[in-house]
Formats: sequence, structure tokens, C-alpha cells
Amino acid sequence: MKNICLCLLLVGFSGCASYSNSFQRVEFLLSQQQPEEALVEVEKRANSSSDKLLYLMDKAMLQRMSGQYEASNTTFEAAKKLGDKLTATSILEQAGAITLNDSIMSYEGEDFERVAVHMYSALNYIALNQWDEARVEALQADFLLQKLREDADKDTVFAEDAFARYLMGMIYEHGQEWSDAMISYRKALLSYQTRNKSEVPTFLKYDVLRMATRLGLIDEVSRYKQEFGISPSTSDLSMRDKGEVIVLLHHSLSPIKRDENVFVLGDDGIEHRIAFPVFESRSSPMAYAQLVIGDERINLDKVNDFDVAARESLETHKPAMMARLLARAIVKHNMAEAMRKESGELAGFMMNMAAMATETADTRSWLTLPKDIYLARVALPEGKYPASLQLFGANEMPLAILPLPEVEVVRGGKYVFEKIWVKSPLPAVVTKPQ
Amino acid sequence: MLNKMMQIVMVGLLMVGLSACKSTTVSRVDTDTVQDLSGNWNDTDSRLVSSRMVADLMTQSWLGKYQVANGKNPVVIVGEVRNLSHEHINTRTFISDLEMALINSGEVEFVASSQERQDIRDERADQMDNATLATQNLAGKELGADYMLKGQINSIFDAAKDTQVKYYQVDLTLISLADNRKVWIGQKKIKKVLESGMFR
Repeated sequence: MKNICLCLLLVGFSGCASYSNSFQRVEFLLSQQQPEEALVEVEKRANSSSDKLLYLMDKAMLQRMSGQYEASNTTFEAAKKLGDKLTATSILEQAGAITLNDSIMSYEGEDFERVAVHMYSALNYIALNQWDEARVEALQADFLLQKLREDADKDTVFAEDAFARYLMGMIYEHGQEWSDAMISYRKALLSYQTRNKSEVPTFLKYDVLRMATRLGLIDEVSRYKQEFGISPSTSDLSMRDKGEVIVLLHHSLSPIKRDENVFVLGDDGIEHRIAFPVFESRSSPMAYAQLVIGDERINLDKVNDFDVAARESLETHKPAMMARLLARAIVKHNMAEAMRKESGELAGFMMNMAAMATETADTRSWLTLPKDIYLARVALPEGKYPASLQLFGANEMPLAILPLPEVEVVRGGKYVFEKIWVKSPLPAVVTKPQ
Repeated sequence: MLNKMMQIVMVGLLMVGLSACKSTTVSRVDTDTVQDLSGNWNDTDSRLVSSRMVADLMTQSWLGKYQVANGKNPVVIVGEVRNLSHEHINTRTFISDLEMALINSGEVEFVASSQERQDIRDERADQMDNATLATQNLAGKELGADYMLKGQINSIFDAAKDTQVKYYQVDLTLISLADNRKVWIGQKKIKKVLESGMFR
């Protein structure tokens, strides 16, 4: 009787659908530009204590998509607090993970996700025009990156975040902290270059040149000019009579984890089935995006790729995860064997079934993050500018036009706009620009 | 073998179940009690700053000098206190403490800050339309400030393994509106060491 009890208990735990499966409705609502509805959906989703961090991050993200920047920051603060607490290891959860499945462990957040919390929180403060508070987030992100680098001996390779650095630079520059801005831009540049030379955003080249010129770093200026193959004049770089328009496009959604069954040969000479999470990217028809402002058309540059970051992060966990999953499979197998010997074939069979049923991959990840972020930054003389964001698919096919408010540029002003675009399952209606 | 293992699993599950039920208890404590929870900036830090600043501001020579030279109390306005630290800090708490202590001392007078003033002016304009002539307060009779109190909070954080050091420095400056002279600078430094556990 006791044995059956245990089996039922084990099955009971597996009753909850995998995390990623329950996301469909949210995704649909986002593609319909209904973040408020998606927020309601996430809020009513029962969140177990082990998924609390994910719940908070999803909620904060949807709150900001709905324009509730202050509420979003409150939620991000709660997420940060919880994240800090979760960095300590829970022995109880570890024991659970060995006997049941990985989903019993509290979701601690990947390193890149923890940095993203600060980035989006900073963007919230910028949207509220509270640049000093955004600076607090910049410092926190800097501190986190520094800590991650110190702990780099653990199973992580994530130690730099180009876009986070760039955002920090922008915030420092706004506060006229030129040398801090220079350091951040430099780090961003280096990070983009180490990834892929061709991926250095165009505006960043001008930003480092502008900062270096302002700080009188003559050697660096000439080195960058040579390296980038551009030579803007000092007056081109000067922001004296200009304001800046910065547009961010949060494109599509981050990849989603799916269950994959793998058979692995254990030390005991038996093949064990283990459930392993694999990432599946979201498809998106968008190939590139353009900011149309006044008479200018500016291509947006990709500044952040969460799709790649998520895959890399999973890859670093792979060896440890594989070892844990195999150990668990062996424990479960041994339990079933012992039960068969003690209480007969039926009990053994049931135990085996329970073991199978509970063996699901941990498919949790921060799903409301975009697939990637695109950015355009342009300096403009004073005046009024009608603006919009145009998205194109393959073969320059227009996909969508996202309207932006008319910008009234004042000298020294910074105007930051954010747009979210998730592929709609219905064909987009395209209207000709006015 | 099996029973042993099962017992462990059972106890584990029981603990998971139990940890869900917790009821809220509230106990009132004196506001001077030091209660460090997360190690972040909290009420104690704010209080330490205000008590230090008040004591310093009241005993330094600028106050006596002004009173002797002008035969009246100085009028101060609170300007911006910038938070340049690693944490979101509400600077209003220690600034209000400071204002209260100085006003109550009877030696310094404060005028409303630029945000507060707008409300007052709106109300005064409203009085012109609606209040009786005898009780109306006329515009153009505001008291101009002699000094502006400005400041900033800076911080340096450092961490290695499970130890973290947090250092905060609060600087307040009193600047003469007549000639940009800095007549007083107050400083409070706070340092904390945090040790976080390996397990939870």
C-alpha cells in the first residue's frame, strides 16, 4: 500500500504540463499586440514556488510591454531579490532533483537573463525619464558582470554582455560622465568584435569616435578611424546643436525549450532514457528593419541576440546536467528493481511507470524575452520629424510599419522609443507610408 | 534498502509540503532598532546620515557667521540630492529628517522646494478668485533663499566568493545663492560587510 502511495505521489508531481507548453496563449496574445491580456494570462497561471522567479520576470516584461513601467520595476526588484536568494544551493531541492526531475529545483535564472533584468529595468527608468535611476541599474549590471567574471571558473562562459555595456555607455553619456561612457563603449566594442567583426553596430563606431574625440584621445581616434574605415569630421561628431533619437526594436521571442529523449549507457551497463531540454528557435519573417525619420532612412543594427545567448547558456550546463540526469535515471531504475524484488512484478512495473512519467526535461526559460534587439541611433538638428519603423522580410518585402510619435528634437535632447514586434499568425496588413 | 530510500523521499516531500504554510506575524519595534535584512540601504543608514548631518550642520561656523553678519537666520532651500550609488535609494527620508531638526532648532529657516512651490502658487492663485479679501495671500511676497542644500550619494561595491563589501558615501553641500560659495560640506561614510550562506 505504501508503495502504491509513493507511485501516486510521484505521478502527481508530473501532473503539471511542462512550462514551455503553457506559454502558447501568451505568445498568441503578444502577436496580436495585446500585452495587457497576456499579463492577465500570466498572472492567473498558478505559479509554484520553484517557478517564482520566472513568473516575476515574465510579469515584469509584460507589464513594461503594457506601458506600466513603474509596476514593472517593482516586479523586477522582487525578481532581483529572489534571484540573489536563489544563488545559494538548496539541499532539499538537490535531493528532489536526484529522485524526481529537474523542474523541482527553483529556477535560478541564467546569467544572461540576470543581466537582462537590469537592462530592461534601466530601459523602464529611461522611459520614465529617470536617468539617475537608470544609472543605478547600469551600476548593478556592471557589478553583476564583474561578479560573473570572478566566478568564471564555474560552468559559465558568459562574462560580457555587449548590449548591456552599450546601454551603460549611453546612460553615462547622458549624465555627461564622459570617461565612464568611453570605458563602457570600449567594452561594448571589444565584446562585439570578439564575437564577430562584421557585427559591430554602425552607430557604435561613431559613438566611440565621438567620445574619444571629446576626451582628446588622439591616438585612439586615429586608430578607430583606420580600423572602421570612416573619417567623420569633428563637427560631424559634435552634438552641440543636435538632439538624439534612439529606437529599439524588440523582435520576436526567445527560443523555447522542448523535451528530447536520449538513451545513454550508464556505468551499470544499462541504457537509461533521459529527458533532455533542447532549444527551438522561433521563426520570424523579418530580415531587417529601417527607421524612417524626416527624409532619412536608417537601418537598425542587431545589438543583442537572446537566441544565441540562450543556446550558449544551455551548452555550458550540458555536462553537469547530463551527469545529473544519468544519476537520476540510475536511482529510479534501482528503486524499481528493489521494489520488484520486494513486492512483486506489479509493484516494480508501477514504480517503473512512475519513474518514466516523472522523467521530464526542465523546459523552463524566460520566454517573454525577445529573440533579439535591434537599435538605431541618430543625431538630428533641432526640428520636428515624423517617424516610423518599417520592417522588411526576405527580398525587401514590406512586412509591417510600426508608427512612432512625431519627434520634436531640441538641442541636447535624447528621445528613446521602444517597439515590440512578434510575428502574427495572420498576414500583416501593410499600408503605404504617407 | 527500499524502505530507507522511501523514508528519505517521504520526509523530503513532507518538508516540501510543509514549507508552503507560513502565517504572517507582525510585531512593532522602535524605529531606532537596527534590523539588517538584505544588507541593502535601509532605515538605519538613513538615520545615521541624518543624525550626523544635523549635528555637523548645527555646530559648524557658517551658521554663527551668517547670524552675526545679517542679524537674522539663514534661509535654506533643498536642491537635488543625486543618487549615484548602486542601489535605488530614497534620499527624501534623511533630507526630511534634516529639515525637521533644523526648523525645530529655530536657527535655520527653510523655503519650499521648486516642486512644492508650484502647488502653493496654484493655491494662491485660487485664493485670488475664491477667498475673501481679508484672508487672501498675495503673490510676490515669497521669501528668497540664501543657501541651497545639494548633495549626492556614491557607492563602491566589491565582492569575492560569498563576501561582499558595500561602501556608501553621502556628501551634502550648502552653497550660497549670492556668490556660489560653498559654506559647509557634510559627509557620512557607511561600510558594511555581507557574508552570504552557501545553502538555503
